[in-house]
Amino acid sequence: MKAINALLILLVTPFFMYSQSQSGKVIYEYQINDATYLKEQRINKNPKLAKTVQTINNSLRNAQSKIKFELEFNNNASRYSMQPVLELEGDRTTAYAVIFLNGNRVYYSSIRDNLKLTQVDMFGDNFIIKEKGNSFKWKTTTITKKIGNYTCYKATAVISTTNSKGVFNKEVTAWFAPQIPFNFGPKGYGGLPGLILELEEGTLRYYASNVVIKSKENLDIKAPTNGKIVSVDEFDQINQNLNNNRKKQK
Amino acid sequence: MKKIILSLVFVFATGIVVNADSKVEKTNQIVSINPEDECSDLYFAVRDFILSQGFSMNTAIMAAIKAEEECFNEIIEIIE
Repeated sequence: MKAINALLILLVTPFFMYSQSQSGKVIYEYQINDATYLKEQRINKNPKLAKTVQTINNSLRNAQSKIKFELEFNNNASRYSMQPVLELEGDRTTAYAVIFLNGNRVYYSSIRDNLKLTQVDMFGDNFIIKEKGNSFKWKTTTITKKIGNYTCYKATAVISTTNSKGVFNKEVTAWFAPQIPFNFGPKGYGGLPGLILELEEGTLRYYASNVVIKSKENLDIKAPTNGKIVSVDEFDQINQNLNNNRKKQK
Repeated sequence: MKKIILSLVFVFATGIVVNADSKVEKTNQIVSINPEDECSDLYFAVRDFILSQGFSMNTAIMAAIKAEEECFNEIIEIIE
Protein backbone atom coordinates (compact mmCIF):
# COMPACT_ATOMS: atom_id res chain seq x y z
CA MET A 1 0.00 0.00 0.00
CA LYS A 2 2.85 2.34 0.91
CA ALA A 3 4.50 1.63 -2.44
CA ILE A 4 1.27 2.47 -4.35
CA ASN A 5 0.96 5.75 -2.41
CA ALA A 6 4.55 6.64 -3.22
CA LEU A 7 3.98 5.88 -6.92
CA LEU A 8 0.80 8.01 -6.95
CA ILE A 9 2.67 10.92 -5.39
CA LEU A 10 5.43 10.57 -7.96
CA LEU A 11 2.96 10.61 -10.85
CA VAL A 12 0.79 13.45 -9.60
CA THR A 13 3.52 15.81 -8.39
CA PRO A 14 4.50 17.11 -11.89
CA PHE A 15 0.88 18.13 -12.56
CA PHE A 16 0.82 20.19 -9.37
CA MET A 17 4.18 21.67 -10.29
CA TYR A 18 2.91 22.89 -13.68
CA SER A 19 -0.42 24.07 -12.29
CA GLN A 20 1.47 26.40 -9.94
CA SER A 21 1.60 30.01 -10.94
CA GLN A 22 4.62 30.55 -13.09
CA SER A 23 5.88 33.50 -14.99
CA GLY A 24 9.02 34.74 -16.61
CA LYS A 25 10.88 37.32 -18.55
CA VAL A 26 13.04 36.97 -21.66
CA ILE A 27 15.32 39.57 -23.21
CA TYR A 28 15.67 39.28 -26.98
CA GLU A 29 18.33 40.86 -29.13
CA TYR A 30 18.54 40.79 -32.89
CA GLN A 31 21.09 40.17 -35.60
CA ILE A 32 21.09 40.69 -39.36
CA ASN A 33 22.18 37.45 -41.02
CA ASP A 34 22.79 38.92 -44.45
CA ALA A 35 25.17 41.76 -45.30
CA THR A 36 22.15 43.97 -46.01
CA TYR A 37 18.59 44.01 -44.79
CA LEU A 38 16.90 45.64 -47.79
CA LYS A 39 18.19 44.58 -51.19
CA GLU A 40 19.80 47.53 -52.92
CA GLN A 41 19.20 46.38 -56.51
CA ARG A 42 17.48 48.44 -59.21
CA ILE A 43 17.61 51.68 -57.23
CA ASN A 44 20.81 53.20 -58.60
CA LYS A 45 18.84 55.37 -61.02
CA ASN A 46 17.43 57.27 -58.05
CA PRO A 47 20.39 58.46 -55.92
CA LYS A 48 18.18 59.83 -53.13
CA LEU A 49 16.32 56.50 -52.81
CA ALA A 50 19.63 54.59 -52.92
CA LYS A 51 20.97 56.81 -50.13
CA THR A 52 17.82 56.25 -48.01
CA VAL A 53 17.97 52.46 -48.45
CA GLN A 54 21.63 52.52 -47.47
CA THR A 55 20.74 54.61 -44.39
CA ILE A 56 18.05 52.07 -43.42
CA ASN A 57 20.53 49.18 -43.76
CA ASN A 58 23.17 51.05 -41.75
CA SER A 59 20.57 51.96 -39.15
CA LEU A 60 19.64 48.29 -38.62
CA ARG A 61 23.28 47.24 -38.49
CA ASN A 62 24.29 50.00 -36.05
CA ALA A 63 21.31 49.49 -33.72
CA GLN A 64 22.10 45.77 -33.16
CA SER A 65 23.94 46.52 -29.95
CA LYS A 66 21.50 49.20 -28.76
CA ILE A 67 18.00 47.82 -29.26
CA LYS A 68 16.65 45.03 -27.04
CA PHE A 69 13.18 43.60 -26.57
CA GLU A 70 11.43 42.26 -23.51
CA LEU A 71 8.87 39.46 -23.28
CA GLU A 72 7.01 39.11 -19.99
CA PHE A 73 4.59 36.26 -19.50
CA ASN A 74 2.56 34.21 -17.07
CA ASN A 75 0.45 31.09 -17.62
CA ASN A 76 -2.20 33.04 -19.45
CA ALA A 77 -0.75 36.09 -21.16
CA SER A 78 2.34 37.70 -22.62
CA ARG A 79 3.49 41.20 -23.44
CA TYR A 80 6.37 42.00 -25.82
CA SER A 81 7.86 45.43 -26.40
CA MET A 82 11.10 47.25 -27.14
CA GLN A 83 13.07 48.31 -24.09
CA PRO A 84 13.38 52.07 -23.79
CA VAL A 85 16.78 53.27 -25.02
CA LEU A 86 17.95 56.72 -23.99
CA GLU A 87 20.54 56.83 -26.77
CA LEU A 88 17.78 56.79 -29.37
CA GLU A 89 16.58 60.25 -28.40
CA GLY A 90 18.04 62.67 -30.88
CA ASP A 91 19.52 59.88 -32.99
CA ARG A 92 17.75 60.55 -36.26
CA THR A 93 18.71 57.50 -38.28
CA THR A 94 18.06 54.85 -35.56
CA ALA A 95 14.38 55.66 -36.03
CA TYR A 96 14.50 53.58 -39.23
CA ALA A 97 15.61 50.52 -37.24
CA VAL A 98 12.72 51.06 -34.82
CA ILE A 99 10.26 51.14 -37.74
CA PHE A 100 11.56 47.94 -39.37
CA LEU A 101 11.88 46.05 -36.06
CA ASN A 102 8.34 47.10 -35.10
CA GLY A 103 9.77 48.79 -32.03
CA ASN A 104 6.81 51.14 -32.09
CA ARG A 105 4.51 48.22 -31.29
CA VAL A 106 3.47 46.44 -28.09
CA TYR A 107 2.25 42.87 -28.59
CA TYR A 108 -0.16 41.35 -26.07
CA SER A 109 -1.57 37.80 -26.20
CA SER A 110 -4.10 36.17 -23.91
CA ILE A 111 -4.78 32.44 -24.10
CA ARG A 112 -7.82 32.60 -21.83
CA ASP A 113 -9.54 35.24 -23.96
CA ASN A 114 -8.18 33.87 -27.28
CA LEU A 115 -7.13 37.44 -27.97
CA LYS A 116 -4.24 39.30 -29.53
CA LEU A 117 -3.79 43.06 -29.15
CA THR A 118 -1.13 45.05 -30.97
CA GLN A 119 -0.64 48.63 -29.92
CA VAL A 120 0.88 50.73 -32.71
CA ASP A 121 2.33 54.19 -32.25
CA MET A 122 2.11 56.00 -35.59
CA PHE A 123 4.07 59.19 -34.94
CA GLY A 124 2.06 59.95 -31.82
CA ASP A 125 -1.30 58.51 -32.90
CA ASN A 126 -1.97 55.25 -31.05
CA PHE A 127 -4.05 52.37 -32.31
CA ILE A 128 -4.78 48.97 -30.76
CA ILE A 129 -5.34 46.27 -33.36
CA LYS A 130 -7.65 43.63 -31.94
CA GLU A 131 -7.72 40.13 -33.42
CA LYS A 132 -8.32 36.51 -32.44
CA GLY A 133 -5.52 34.62 -30.72
CA ASN A 134 -2.91 32.45 -32.34
CA SER A 135 -3.47 32.12 -36.08
CA PHE A 136 -0.08 30.68 -37.07
CA LYS A 137 -0.02 27.37 -38.89
CA TRP A 138 3.23 25.91 -37.61
CA LYS A 139 4.97 22.90 -39.04
CA THR A 140 6.99 21.38 -36.23
CA THR A 141 10.04 19.24 -36.94
CA THR A 142 12.33 16.93 -34.97
CA ILE A 143 15.37 19.08 -35.80
CA THR A 144 16.91 20.33 -32.58
CA LYS A 145 19.59 22.68 -31.37
CA LYS A 146 20.76 23.82 -27.96
CA ILE A 147 20.07 27.39 -26.94
CA GLY A 148 21.66 27.97 -23.56
CA ASN A 149 20.63 25.00 -21.42
CA TYR A 150 17.50 24.33 -23.42
CA THR A 151 16.94 21.87 -26.25
CA CYS A 152 14.92 23.70 -28.88
CA TYR A 153 12.87 22.28 -31.74
CA LYS A 154 12.54 23.89 -35.14
CA ALA A 155 9.12 24.95 -36.41
CA THR A 156 8.26 26.89 -39.56
CA ALA A 157 5.27 28.88 -40.72
CA VAL A 158 4.46 30.89 -43.82
CA ILE A 159 3.34 34.46 -43.17
CA SER A 160 1.44 36.19 -45.92
CA THR A 161 1.45 39.96 -46.46
CA THR A 162 -0.82 41.60 -49.01
CA ASN A 163 -0.15 45.13 -50.18
CA SER A 164 -0.79 47.19 -53.31
CA LYS A 165 2.17 45.50 -55.05
CA GLY A 166 0.86 41.97 -54.56
CA VAL A 167 0.87 39.03 -52.15
CA PHE A 168 4.17 38.21 -50.46
CA ASN A 169 4.81 34.98 -48.59
CA LYS A 170 7.73 34.71 -46.24
CA GLU A 171 8.83 31.76 -44.18
CA VAL A 172 9.38 32.28 -40.48
CA THR A 173 11.42 29.83 -38.42
CA ALA A 174 10.94 29.48 -34.67
CA TRP A 175 13.08 27.50 -32.23
CA PHE A 176 10.96 26.60 -29.21
CA ALA A 177 11.86 24.99 -25.90
CA PRO A 178 9.36 22.38 -24.62
CA GLN A 179 11.21 22.57 -21.27
CA ILE A 180 9.69 26.04 -20.83
CA PRO A 181 5.98 25.22 -21.23
CA PHE A 182 4.65 28.64 -22.27
CA ASN A 183 3.09 29.24 -25.70
CA PHE A 184 4.60 32.66 -26.35
CA GLY A 185 7.44 34.30 -28.25
CA PRO A 186 8.74 37.54 -29.72
CA LYS A 187 6.68 39.89 -31.93
CA GLY A 188 3.37 38.23 -31.07
CA TYR A 189 4.47 34.84 -32.43
CA GLY A 190 3.34 31.89 -30.34
CA GLY A 191 1.09 28.87 -30.21
CA LEU A 192 3.92 26.35 -30.01
CA PRO A 193 4.32 23.79 -27.20
CA GLY A 194 7.15 25.75 -25.63
CA LEU A 195 8.59 29.24 -25.39
CA ILE A 196 10.19 30.56 -28.60
CA LEU A 197 13.83 31.34 -27.80
CA GLU A 198 14.85 32.19 -31.34
CA LEU A 199 12.99 33.53 -34.35
CA GLU A 200 14.24 33.92 -37.92
CA GLU A 201 12.21 36.36 -39.98
CA GLY A 202 13.83 37.00 -43.35
CA THR A 203 17.37 38.20 -42.76
CA LEU A 204 16.60 39.11 -39.14
CA ARG A 205 17.24 36.73 -36.27
CA TYR A 206 15.78 37.48 -32.84
CA TYR A 207 17.48 35.49 -30.09
CA ALA A 208 16.98 35.19 -26.34
CA SER A 209 19.99 36.63 -24.51
CA ASN A 210 18.53 36.25 -21.02
CA VAL A 211 15.81 33.90 -19.73
CA VAL A 212 14.38 34.14 -16.21
CA ILE A 213 11.65 31.71 -15.09
CA LYS A 214 9.94 32.49 -11.80
CA SER A 215 8.20 29.40 -10.47
CA LYS A 216 6.46 31.01 -7.50
CA GLU A 217 5.79 34.52 -8.70
CA ASN A 218 2.85 35.38 -10.92
CA LEU A 219 3.64 38.47 -13.00
CA ASP A 220 0.69 40.70 -13.75
CA ILE A 221 0.61 41.06 -17.54
CA LYS A 222 -1.38 44.14 -18.47
CA ALA A 223 -3.09 44.57 -21.82
CA PRO A 224 -2.29 47.80 -23.66
CA THR A 225 -5.01 50.41 -23.25
CA ASN A 226 -3.55 53.51 -24.87
CA GLY A 227 -5.10 53.85 -28.30
CA LYS A 228 -8.15 53.57 -30.49
CA ILE A 229 -9.29 49.94 -30.80
CA VAL A 230 -9.54 48.83 -34.42
CA SER A 231 -9.76 45.55 -36.33
CA VAL A 232 -7.03 44.39 -38.72
CA ASP A 233 -9.16 45.49 -41.68
CA GLU A 234 -9.87 48.89 -40.14
CA PHE A 235 -6.17 49.45 -39.50
CA ASP A 236 -5.37 48.53 -43.10
CA GLN A 237 -8.03 51.01 -44.21
CA ILE A 238 -6.50 53.77 -42.03
CA ASN A 239 -3.15 53.20 -43.75
CA GLN A 240 -4.81 53.03 -47.15
CA ASN A 241 -6.56 56.36 -46.49
CA LEU A 242 -3.24 57.93 -45.47
CA ASN A 243 -1.79 56.67 -48.73
CA ASN A 244 -4.72 57.98 -50.78
CA ASN A 245 -4.49 61.41 -49.12
CA ARG A 246 -0.87 61.67 -50.22
CA LYS A 247 -1.85 60.75 -53.76
CA LYS A 248 -4.41 63.57 -53.79
CA GLN A 249 -1.85 66.09 -52.53
CA LYS A 250 0.52 65.13 -55.34
CA MET B 1 39.52 110.45 -78.23
CA LYS B 2 39.00 110.44 -74.46
CA LYS B 3 35.25 110.42 -75.02
CA ILE B 4 35.52 107.40 -77.32
CA ILE B 5 37.65 105.47 -74.80
CA LEU B 6 35.32 106.36 -71.90
CA SER B 7 32.25 105.31 -73.84
CA LEU B 8 33.94 102.02 -74.79
CA VAL B 9 34.82 101.42 -71.11
CA PHE B 10 31.21 102.23 -70.15
CA VAL B 11 29.82 99.78 -72.72
CA PHE B 12 32.28 97.09 -71.59
CA ALA B 13 31.52 97.69 -67.89
CA THR B 14 27.76 97.59 -68.54
CA GLY B 15 28.20 94.25 -70.27
CA ILE B 16 30.02 92.84 -67.20
CA VAL B 17 27.28 94.12 -64.87
CA VAL B 18 24.52 92.60 -67.04
CA ASN B 19 26.39 89.27 -67.25
CA ALA B 20 27.02 89.33 -63.50
CA ASP B 21 23.30 89.92 -62.92
CA SER B 22 22.32 87.04 -65.16
CA LYS B 23 24.77 84.79 -63.28
CA VAL B 24 23.14 85.78 -59.99
CA GLU B 25 19.75 85.00 -61.45
CA LYS B 26 20.91 81.59 -62.61
CA THR B 27 22.36 80.82 -59.16
CA ASN B 28 19.09 81.87 -57.55
CA GLN B 29 17.20 79.59 -59.89
CA ILE B 30 19.26 76.59 -58.71
CA VAL B 31 18.56 77.35 -55.03
CA SER B 32 14.89 77.89 -55.69
CA ILE B 33 14.24 74.23 -56.70
CA ASN B 34 11.19 73.35 -54.62
CA PRO B 35 12.33 71.16 -51.69
CA GLU B 36 8.71 70.13 -51.19
CA ASP B 37 8.67 68.47 -54.63
CA GLU B 38 12.07 66.88 -54.15
CA CYS B 39 11.19 65.41 -50.74
CA SER B 40 7.70 64.45 -51.84
CA ASP B 41 9.21 62.50 -54.75
CA LEU B 42 11.46 60.71 -52.27
CA TYR B 43 8.40 59.87 -50.12
CA PHE B 44 6.75 58.07 -53.04
CA ALA B 45 9.98 56.36 -54.14
CA VAL B 46 10.66 54.99 -50.63
CA ARG B 47 7.04 53.94 -50.13
CA ASP B 48 6.94 52.04 -53.44
CA PHE B 49 10.32 50.42 -52.85
CA ILE B 50 9.36 49.19 -49.35
CA LEU B 51 6.03 47.86 -50.66
CA SER B 52 7.83 46.03 -53.48
CA GLN B 53 9.97 44.29 -50.83
CA GLY B 54 6.81 42.80 -49.27
CA PHE B 55 6.36 45.01 -46.22
CA SER B 56 2.99 46.23 -44.99
CA MET B 57 1.54 49.56 -46.06
CA ASN B 58 2.00 50.76 -42.46
CA THR B 59 5.76 50.07 -42.52
CA ALA B 60 6.07 51.58 -46.01
CA ILE B 61 4.25 54.77 -45.03
CA MET B 62 6.20 55.18 -41.80
CA ALA B 63 9.56 54.71 -43.55
CA ALA B 64 8.48 57.09 -46.33
CA ILE B 65 7.40 59.78 -43.84
CA LYS B 66 10.75 59.41 -42.05
CA ALA B 67 12.66 59.68 -45.34
CA GLU B 68 10.73 62.81 -46.30
CA GLU B 69 11.42 64.35 -42.90
CA GLU B 70 15.15 63.57 -43.25
CA CYS B 71 15.12 65.10 -46.74
CA PHE B 72 13.67 68.37 -45.37
CA ASN B 73 16.19 68.36 -42.50
CA GLU B 74 19.07 67.97 -44.95
CA ILE B 75 17.85 70.89 -47.09
CA ILE B 76 17.41 73.07 -44.01
CA GLU B 77 20.95 72.20 -42.89
CA ILE B 78 22.33 73.13 -46.34
CA ILE B 79 20.48 76.49 -46.30
CA GLU B 80 21.68 77.25 -42.75
